[in-house]
Amino acid sequence: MKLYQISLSSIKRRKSRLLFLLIGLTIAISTVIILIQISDAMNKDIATKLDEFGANILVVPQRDELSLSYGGISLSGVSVETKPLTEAQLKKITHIKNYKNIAAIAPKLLETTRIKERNVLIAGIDFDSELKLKKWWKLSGKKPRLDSELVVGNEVAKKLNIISGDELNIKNMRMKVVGVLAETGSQDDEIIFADLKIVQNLFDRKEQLSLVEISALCYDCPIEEIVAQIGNQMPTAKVMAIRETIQSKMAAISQFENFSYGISLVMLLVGGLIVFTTFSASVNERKKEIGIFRSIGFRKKNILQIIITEAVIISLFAGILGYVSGLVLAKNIAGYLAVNSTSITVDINMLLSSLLLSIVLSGAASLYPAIKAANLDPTEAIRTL
Amino acid sequence: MALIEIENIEKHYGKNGTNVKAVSGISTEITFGEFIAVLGHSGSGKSTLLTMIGGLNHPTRGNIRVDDLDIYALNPEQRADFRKEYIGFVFQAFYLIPYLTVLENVLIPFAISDLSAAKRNSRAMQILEKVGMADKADRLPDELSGGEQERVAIARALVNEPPIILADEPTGNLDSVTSAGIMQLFADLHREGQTIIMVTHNQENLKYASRTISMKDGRIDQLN
Repeated sequence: MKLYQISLSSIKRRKSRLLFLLIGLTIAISTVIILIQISDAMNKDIATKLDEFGANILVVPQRDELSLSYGGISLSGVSVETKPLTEAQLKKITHIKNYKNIAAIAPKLLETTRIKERNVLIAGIDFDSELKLKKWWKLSGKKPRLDSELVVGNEVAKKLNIISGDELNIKNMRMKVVGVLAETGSQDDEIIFADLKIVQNLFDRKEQLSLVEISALCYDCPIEEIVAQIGNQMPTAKVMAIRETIQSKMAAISQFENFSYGISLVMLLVGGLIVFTTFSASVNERKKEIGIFRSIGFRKKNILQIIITEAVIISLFAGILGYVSGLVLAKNIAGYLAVNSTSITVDINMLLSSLLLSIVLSGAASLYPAIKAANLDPTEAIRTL
Repeated sequence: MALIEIENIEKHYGKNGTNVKAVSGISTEITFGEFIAVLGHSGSGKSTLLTMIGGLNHPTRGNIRVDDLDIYALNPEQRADFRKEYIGFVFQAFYLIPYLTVLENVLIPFAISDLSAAKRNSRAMQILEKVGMADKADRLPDELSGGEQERVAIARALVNEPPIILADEPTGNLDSVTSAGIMQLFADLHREGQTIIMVTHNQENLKYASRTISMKDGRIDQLN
């Protein structure tokens, strides 16, 4: 017989009395787990769908002059790039701390060329990363596979009468149009897209870039932080955040998160109160028993140990039950909320946290009743004959 | 040499001016191996005297020395240790822990001792054998008769081998046949040298004791 065995026997043989306590604690823990899992799933959901929101960071070369364009109307055709952007600089992005938060990097080189007697903007791009970034692009035709293949924007195709299969002469190189972009409503409609390397070669701008579009998300740090990290790696470039893209969705999630914390706190308070009242009542019921223990020579701390151990054992069960039921419910609720629930999986750290939470909660809530029990006057307890 | 020296102890109960003297000025000595019966009507202060000897009830005045130890000069935790070391209580209402089996109840005093598990169990079974309860070691208290519960309570008081057994109306709730069995058990323990102080209001029980202290209104009425 050890002290903890007294606690164990007490639980084992008085199950019905402790059932309420177990249910109450389990509901509290379960609710907290559900809320945490759902808001976490929402965040991860956003992260995986990030590229659907397009770029949110723009890297351009530093310019000496102030911008002379407003609302898409350029007042001056010339602006001298003091230090052109290079691919070597771009590679440094891999060194930033939050590199794992970057979903896509789409470098571009912009040039003008004459096709069918007209000036046209040609963009050298990396088709794979561009298509990853711009999920809304719809190609009639196919994705270019060869260096000599092109995709043309919708407006360009209309104005220059180009269809898939046409051949165009660009800087004395014959290139084949393999796809026409469906109307995007953006500047992309007025651009001819070719492979980055080819454009760099044709226009004698090896390794150079005009701009880089980056799609990044970090839900535990602001986008400005990633911007600053990239800026540090590319000191001669200008790195800007495009705020509107996902900021509003992030704000909605953070509101839900705050709401979750609020509800969690209330649930934990209620759980704590259940433990407190159950153990307070139990101490009154068990006055006699405590008197016996004291008459046998148990110290106050022994009484404290028996009661706290009981609370901790029950809270262990509640922690496990709460975690499991919370996980199952969160998965169902996530489906109901149309949130991708694949990220809701058994996580040992989460389980340990829920155990810890449960133990700390009921330990703290049973402390006062336990102290009260330990301080009971043993004669008082014995005399209740 | 005296095992217990009681020196002019008083116990007053009550608050808000209503002061009841449960024990008013008792002095006596009890030596090793005595079987004392404390006789008195209810309210005579005999149970109060017993709990004071057992270190559970602080006297308002006076001293109690057990084995030369002034037990009320100790702090409450030291007094708990004193009870563990010196005292085995047997109560009228048996006071077994309802959710522990017979064996577990007897093992309670060992929960705060360093004895090995094997030694504890053999000692507990040995003492249950002695009180005739070994075959019911796995029962819960509410499956036992009153006399059986009392035997378990006695086993629990004895298991630690304390020098002093304090019994408060041990036969109070039992029929005469069962009472006789319990009293015989106490008499056997006494013969083995156990010091026993028993509070009773039953004249029948006096014949087992080596000495009787009669109490009336908180005082010693008569010594035999």
